[in-house]
Amino acid sequence: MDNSQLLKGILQACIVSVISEGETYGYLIIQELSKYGFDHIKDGTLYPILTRLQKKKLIKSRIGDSSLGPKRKYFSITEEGLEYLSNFKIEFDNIVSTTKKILDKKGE
Amino acid sequence: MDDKKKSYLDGEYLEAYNKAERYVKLYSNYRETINGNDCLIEIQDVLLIAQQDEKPINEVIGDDFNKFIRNVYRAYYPFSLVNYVYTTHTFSLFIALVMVLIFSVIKSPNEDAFTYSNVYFVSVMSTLFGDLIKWIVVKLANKVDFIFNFITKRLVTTMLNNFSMLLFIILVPNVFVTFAIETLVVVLIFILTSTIGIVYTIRMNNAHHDKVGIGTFKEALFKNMDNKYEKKNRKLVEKNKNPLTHLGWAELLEKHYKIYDVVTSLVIILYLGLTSYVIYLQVEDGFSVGGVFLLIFLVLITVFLMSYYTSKKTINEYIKSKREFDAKK
Repeated sequence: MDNSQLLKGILQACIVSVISEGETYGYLIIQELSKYGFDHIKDGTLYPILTRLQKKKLIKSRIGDSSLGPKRKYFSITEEGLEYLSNFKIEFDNIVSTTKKILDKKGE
Repeated sequence: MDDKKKSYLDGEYLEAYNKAERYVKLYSNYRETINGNDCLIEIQDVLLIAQQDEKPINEVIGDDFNKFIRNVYRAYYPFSLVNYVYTTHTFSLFIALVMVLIFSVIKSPNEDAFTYSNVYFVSVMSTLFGDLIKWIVVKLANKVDFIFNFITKRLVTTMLNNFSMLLFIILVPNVFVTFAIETLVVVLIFILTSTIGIVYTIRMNNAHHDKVGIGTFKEALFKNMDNKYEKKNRKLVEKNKNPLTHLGWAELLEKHYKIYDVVTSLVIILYLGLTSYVIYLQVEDGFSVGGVFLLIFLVLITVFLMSYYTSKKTINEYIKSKREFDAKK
């Protein structure tokens, strides 16, 4: 089964969710997602998704100073992002519960 | 990126950064108004944290560093066919303009062959040919370490790009028409010096931004708008008037840019009209010196439209940020 589209949507929502916890930056997002098993994000896949999310206005960015010296790009969530996240959670829960019902029935 | 910024990195991290910088410089196109800073800020930050935490690079960004750079680069510079066609068109108009100017001054034995469409065709093809050569060189440079290390300067690839274009400009017309060698030499020198001038201006501009701590086009524009805001308020205070709030400033800008939108629409109509007129001239009268001025105008309008639409998006973001600033308060 080609589940790349499904994974893409889930990954996108996970990134928005990480950002919704507070202003953050690329490296921290990668670390946070890696902790939960999204290890492949290390190869830079995160950045095109961040750009896409910005275009959709779900997140916004600013360039600020970092504790290490040079500039750093910070990301934070927007109103639209919060709305998207809450809608995604409802849809995702529906999909999971429906799928579970079907799978459990098959297994009986 | 300047040496001060690089000095934060050391050893394998600095080496990795240099590789990323070379990649960005090789791939980014001087015909685009953007610079590589946004992308490099991101890569530098990841490498700096890895260095501080004493983590090996592959632990932070995976085993394939090239893939990491490619992904980050494409996030900031996604390929857009529309943008490519637009920039190619503008650049080709610029080359066509130079060619027409020179051909109009230097008489050729076959001047009937110098139609607008011929000149424009040659300039478009030369631009595409230059891009093709550059693409091949960059591909080779990424495969062969020796070439990759050798081509460390954006200027070198740009020069290769330009020489390929010039080769095309010289070779193709010669198949159809025999140009006087003096004409070709003047065209060659003019295009070469002007493109070097463009590249150096961009480099100087980027260096200046690095120096004053402006990383991106967006930052530069925001800073410029904030300066204007302060200046406006200073003038209002001098006149014993109340200074503008952030919201007031946002509303004033919106009003101004609505007027610009109307002007831009008129410019587009003018642009289309002039293009049609140039085509008409071409068909009716053939090549004429008077048409040169129309061509100059076309180039200026194209550049104006391009820069206007590039900055409009960022200006809207600025206006939004000013509105949000007061709302948060």
